[in-house]
Amino acid sequence: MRRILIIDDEDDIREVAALALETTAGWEIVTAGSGPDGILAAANCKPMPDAILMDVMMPGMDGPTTFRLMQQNPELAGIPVLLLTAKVQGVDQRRFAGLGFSAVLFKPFNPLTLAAQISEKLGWVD
Amino acid sequence: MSQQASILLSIFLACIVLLVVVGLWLDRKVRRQEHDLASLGEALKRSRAHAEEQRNRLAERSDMDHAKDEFISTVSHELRTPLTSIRGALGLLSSGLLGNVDGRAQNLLRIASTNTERLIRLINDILDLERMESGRAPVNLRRCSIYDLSREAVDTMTALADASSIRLELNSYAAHDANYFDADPDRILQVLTNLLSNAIKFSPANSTVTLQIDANIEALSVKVIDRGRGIPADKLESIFDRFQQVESSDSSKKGGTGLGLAICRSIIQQHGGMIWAQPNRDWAKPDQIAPGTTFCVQFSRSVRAGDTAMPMMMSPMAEHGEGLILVCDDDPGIRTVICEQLRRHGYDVIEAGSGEEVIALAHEQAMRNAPVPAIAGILLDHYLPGLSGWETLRQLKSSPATAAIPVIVLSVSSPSERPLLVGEAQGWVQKPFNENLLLGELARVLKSKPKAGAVAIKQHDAIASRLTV
Repeated sequence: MRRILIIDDEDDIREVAALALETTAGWEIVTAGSGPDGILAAANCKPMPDAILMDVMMPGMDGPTTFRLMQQNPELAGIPVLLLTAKVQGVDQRRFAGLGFSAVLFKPFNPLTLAAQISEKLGWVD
Repeated sequence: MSQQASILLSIFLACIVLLVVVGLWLDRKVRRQEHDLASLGEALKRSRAHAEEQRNRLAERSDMDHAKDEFISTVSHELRTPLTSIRGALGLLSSGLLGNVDGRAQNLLRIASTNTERLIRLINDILDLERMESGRAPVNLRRCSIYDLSREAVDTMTALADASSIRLELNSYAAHDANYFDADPDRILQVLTNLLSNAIKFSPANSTVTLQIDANIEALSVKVIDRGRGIPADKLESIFDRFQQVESSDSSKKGGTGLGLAICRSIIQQHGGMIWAQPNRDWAKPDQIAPGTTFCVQFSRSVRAGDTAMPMMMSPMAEHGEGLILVCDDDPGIRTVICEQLRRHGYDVIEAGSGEEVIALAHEQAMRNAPVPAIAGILLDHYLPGLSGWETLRQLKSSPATAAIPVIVLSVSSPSERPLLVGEAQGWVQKPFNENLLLGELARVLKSKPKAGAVAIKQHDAIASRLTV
């Protein structure tokens, strides 16, 4: 079974995304409400999450910063991170390009196809 | 003797008179020159003040553009965040994955879901249109085939057509090579799917919607033909305006946003093309109007929009060039690719990784004497760390040694987004570019005479050097 860590400061979005992935794909979901909590959750998760779904704009530590810190930790550096963002403008997308994220997904996502989208981006066939 | 003395005296007097006259004349001339120089000095001062004022205005405008970008980006984010929760919750509830709900509740969930989707489309469309009309949605031109894009649009819309029992048909009257043109494929696909989606929505069941391609050496056109209720003559033009539909109930009944055609028109205009609607004609009875509407999109291959905003529709075949080209991009990979392309076409190349390096190299080359070739042109990346492309361009153009070197800006932005830069640069190539586009623009710039701007700068410098002597 896949294990996904969702990092988003919006409680409602965390809940909806978790429910969507649990019910449509049967994945196990861990959630965190901030960048620092996300890094802790990823490090404490045993086994490690198979992928991380990360919000961009979070108070305190934003998604790209959280991602950069994770990359500095050899244990967490290998986990694929998908950016989940409500910023869909070209200028915002260019900002994310080349930072090393596995994919960028956009809000509002379709709850019924979110799991399939993640699998497709990461090349998961199961 | 006295006669001789009087002759000498008169010669002497004549000489004195002549000297006085010449002296007076010289004095007047010097005064006039002083006056000329003073007024030239004044003119120079005024033109410098004007340039300063222009520069300040440019900086203000770029600040305003930046603030507007930030505002739109934030509003978009703030609207999407609550919609994400609503869409997620409604989607899961109405899917039945969390257990069944009774029929009436199911219907209410369906209504809420459909209208959430409509709201999301509306927000997307409004932002899309706003960005395009303010010139902040650059078109990324690349060589693509109108046939392939049409095929993709038809494939994408087949499910929707099937659901309404409508047949989609793709007819091409273009030779294989004539299908190719330079366009932003995502944007053109957006237009084609939008036109097909409209055609399907307004067609009766069991009818056919046709996508027809015509292309020749001068123009390339796509028509989307439906057999629907048709559009009254007085609305054929206004349907391209925002929120203008043939019937006011159309947006709620058909689920459109009322912005689709306005977006299509913006995209096509960005490509230098035209889009319009016309009633179908019955070719057997040409004087009669047949049911349905034809939406026509046309691109002229001769459009040379480089002067205003857009790169040309068809890049000329790359020809053999010569001269020393300075290539500046902070990305060594891009630099290598460009240099390789230029070398293969006969140019000599030097590389620079920053704006500072460009200024230094350009001056160094300008100071050298023949036979070392001076720089024939500069390819300058717009976004550079440190000294920006813009600042580099300004410095090049304000130095007499380098002002005359033509500069081609390489930018992910379209020229219409950065109109102020366009004024100073002699050429513009939007990234990502293909080899033909780059070489075509370089050849065009090298062939054309120096712009008036460069000449004017040189004249000012000439005046300045006279004043300081």
